[in-house]
Amino acid sequence: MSGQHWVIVASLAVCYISCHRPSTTNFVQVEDVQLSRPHVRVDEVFFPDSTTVYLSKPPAGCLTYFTNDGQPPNLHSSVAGDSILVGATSLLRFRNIGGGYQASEEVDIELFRLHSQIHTIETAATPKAPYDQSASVLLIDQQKGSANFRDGRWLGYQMTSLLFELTFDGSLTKGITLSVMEDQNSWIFAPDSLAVQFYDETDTLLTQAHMTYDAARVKNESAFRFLSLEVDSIRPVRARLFINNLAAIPEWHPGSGHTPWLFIDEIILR
Amino acid sequence: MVQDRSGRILLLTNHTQNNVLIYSKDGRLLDSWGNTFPGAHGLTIKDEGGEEFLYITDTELGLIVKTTLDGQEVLRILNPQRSQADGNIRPFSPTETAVAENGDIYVADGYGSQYIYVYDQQGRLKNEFGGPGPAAHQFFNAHGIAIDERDSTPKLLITAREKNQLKYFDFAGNYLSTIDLPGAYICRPVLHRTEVYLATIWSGNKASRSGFISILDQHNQLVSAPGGLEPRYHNGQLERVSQAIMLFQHPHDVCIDEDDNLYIPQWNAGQVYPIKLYRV
Repeated sequence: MSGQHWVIVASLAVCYISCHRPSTTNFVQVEDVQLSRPHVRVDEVFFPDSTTVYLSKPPAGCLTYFTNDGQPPNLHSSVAGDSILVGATSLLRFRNIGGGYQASEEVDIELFRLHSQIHTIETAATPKAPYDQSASVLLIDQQKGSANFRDGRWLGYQMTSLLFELTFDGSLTKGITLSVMEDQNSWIFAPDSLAVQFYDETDTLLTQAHMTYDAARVKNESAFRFLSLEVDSIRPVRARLFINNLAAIPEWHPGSGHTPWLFIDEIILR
Repeated sequence: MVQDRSGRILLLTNHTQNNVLIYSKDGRLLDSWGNTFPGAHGLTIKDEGGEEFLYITDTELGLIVKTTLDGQEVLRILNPQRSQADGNIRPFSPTETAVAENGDIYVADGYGSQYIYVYDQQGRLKNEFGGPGPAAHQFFNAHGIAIDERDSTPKLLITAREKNQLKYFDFAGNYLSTIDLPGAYICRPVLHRTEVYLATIWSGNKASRSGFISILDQHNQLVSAPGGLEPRYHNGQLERVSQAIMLFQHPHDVCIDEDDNLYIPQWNAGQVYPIKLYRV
């Protein structure tokens, strides 16, 4: 017996209270059903040389399409096999298409090739126990935290403004990426905004960047977020990273009014 | 969801305007009753001496009620008040029941203590086994229970949902064996002919809206997964299962009628009506 033996039926047109109305049965069509998202697994999100992305086989008659140029995947995109070897910082976007079904939702995987440590954290905001390991170690250890924020790889903060001061070895950089967790069900929100100032050896401001993120919007599922501040190539000696949390958990949330948690596992130099 | 002898489909809900909804097989609402079970969860039907009875669990009230098909209460089983190691009373939030031929009632306390309690037909506690833990005879969410009579030795088949497993026990509570279904967060086993049907409420990494239906053959091999990817075995081991199409969100039970059609009610699925799969 296989799944193909079962005819898929739409939800019964049921429950007209009156018995006098005839029942109707609507058989769902293939084109009414959406494919599930691709199942993607990655060896290491942060890697020194390369990493491998693994994909589960899509449903029969379907293919997994992907892009690495930031564009949404479609029928004209590359077809993914069982695995993809990645050797550079990349944003991979995947989608299942085919079989007459509606295309799946997209799955995005951001991967970072990290250079050997070229920045240090001089001063850091104070995390809150029990998520208060050493920031100067944890946030530049090139280890990705898991989906479990209690795994010892995340620093947790419950304050509205954070400041980190970093020093560099003079290497070329094109900005900073902050790796955070967003799990609103656990009262963990992404930052509302970021800003960075880069300085040279005379303490002169070289350049700065700023970004905002829609942290207050409802997001039902836990996810990793990589928030980037990009600049033209520079060789800074020092930087100040400002992170602003939401002032309070939004009204729609059960924790409305409380200060949200912010969880960070890495500050990445681009 | 169960089917009675006259072919009607009975759906249990936790809505106290209508805990039990009764449908024809083509989906017409025939009747409804029940307004006292805010945590109604498990529903079993049992023919006892020619009369059919329902066994309803309520995870909020912490009780099991036996009723007639039209809702007349016959028996009520409350918290057995068992003590745990710290001296407190064990929680009791029963998820499902199974009734043996001798009338013994097996209760899976899947949202409470993780014990399986055994009562006689008068509701007196006779035995208990299982409990929480990683050992083979223990459970982590003993969500469902059924009696497997497919071979000459009837035995209990019990869900360990968070472990993605089914476990066999004899009626005395001795552990027998485990069926691994990696990636399948299964609700309760429903035996029909030689197959076992399981509403798989989540799959893979337990993402929301990732459910499908699992069907085991007489050898307890996963042979069909409506809504899921085709099952694959490698060296005798089932590869991790996952959803293929988003037909189901969170299926919570499977009812099979005499024509082998499937009826699948769901939990937390936008109040969508049960989905019917026609056997072809």
